[in-house]
Amino acid sequence: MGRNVGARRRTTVTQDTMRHPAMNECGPLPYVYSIYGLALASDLALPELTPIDRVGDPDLVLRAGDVPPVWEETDPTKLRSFLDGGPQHMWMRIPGTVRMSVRDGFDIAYALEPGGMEDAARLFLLGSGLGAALMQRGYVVIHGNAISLPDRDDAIVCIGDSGVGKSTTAIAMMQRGFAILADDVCPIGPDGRIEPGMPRAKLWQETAAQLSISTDGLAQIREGDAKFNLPLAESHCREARAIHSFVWLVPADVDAVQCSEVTGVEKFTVLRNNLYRPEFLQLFDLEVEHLGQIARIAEGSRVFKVMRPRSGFDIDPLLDAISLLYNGGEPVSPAALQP
Amino acid sequence: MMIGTMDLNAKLQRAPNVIATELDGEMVMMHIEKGVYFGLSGSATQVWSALETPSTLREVIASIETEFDVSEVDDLTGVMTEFVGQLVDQGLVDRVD
Repeated sequence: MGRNVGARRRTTVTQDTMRHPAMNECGPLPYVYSIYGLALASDLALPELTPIDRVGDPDLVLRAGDVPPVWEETDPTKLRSFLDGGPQHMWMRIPGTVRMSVRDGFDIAYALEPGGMEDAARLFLLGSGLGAALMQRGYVVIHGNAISLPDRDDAIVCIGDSGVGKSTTAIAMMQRGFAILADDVCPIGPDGRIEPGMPRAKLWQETAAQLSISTDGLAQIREGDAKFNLPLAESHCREARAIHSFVWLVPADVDAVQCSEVTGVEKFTVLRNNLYRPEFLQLFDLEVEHLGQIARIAEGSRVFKVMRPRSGFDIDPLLDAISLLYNGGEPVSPAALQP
Repeated sequence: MMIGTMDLNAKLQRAPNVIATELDGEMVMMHIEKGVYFGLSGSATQVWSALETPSTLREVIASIETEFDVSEVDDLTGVMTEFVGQLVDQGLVDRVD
């Protein structure tokens, strides 16, 4: 309470009074897309995104530019020489693929590395690049998959370590009639709502087999990876949603799915541990601001810990448990069942 | 460490490089330079509240006695001395000497 968010620069900029200098540096931007509720103008075709008609100045620009191969102020004692920057600026190099410079939550400039493939470059530009721009704009970006029933205004966000089954769970819930709001990157705005992501989900070959989805004709995300782009079509939720709850998936030594509710400070810890690219926050000097923002999000939503057997489990009980929570059921606490 | 040496008249204050925010009646704190997070709950949050202005350990303990039922705590002074000592060791609270 009492935080003066109205004084933030990004909320006071208007198209009439100020134009980002990048608008004068770039060539034509023939492609315009909607992503995370923002209009992105690009000189690169981005088949992963939803095209829209051009309306005035864009919110974000993606354009070829001069991005130095080394960070100008490289400190030899620094460990991460492929990531650097400062407040409102990220410089990143993915050797053999792409270099990028993201400024002011507006300008994503890129330079392909020699031999770099465009589809691999897009993966990083639309992942780390957009993620950095969102953080610069003041969003809290959660690493998770947001799903929602089409007739409801709130979404469940599946979070947890990589490989825990977030994408599989989201796609399986889609088969049960849920819409996918965002896959992997869930930006939460100052209004506490999650903005809609790309109209596709990452589908692993293994998941496809488990859920009986054919990968025939699906585009590989990157050549050589057993990972595909699954178009969501009507199963993509295109509007922002409030947060119903976070479902924290945890593999554990349990025989069956077990749910419990996380409360108090631990909610904060769980959300903090599931941020998208948390190393960017330090770079942008946003850690202090994020403490309050994450605490407000934690305060306004419930967090459920859903433990599932480590391997070889049937996914249906997990989906049943998530549906029950979404429909207002209270988690069954294993402790409460003890005599 | 500090624990054994702190007496009840030790003057204490919140460290300047710590920020805290409330969450569901508990407290989330972050040490800005270290980038480390801490959580306080229950009577521990009262310690932080009591240190809004620099106070002695004696005054902090008195505020706990006012706000909480401590009748079943055997050695409140010992418990509080140890806890406040931890806050000092973690750099969340400074001694003003």
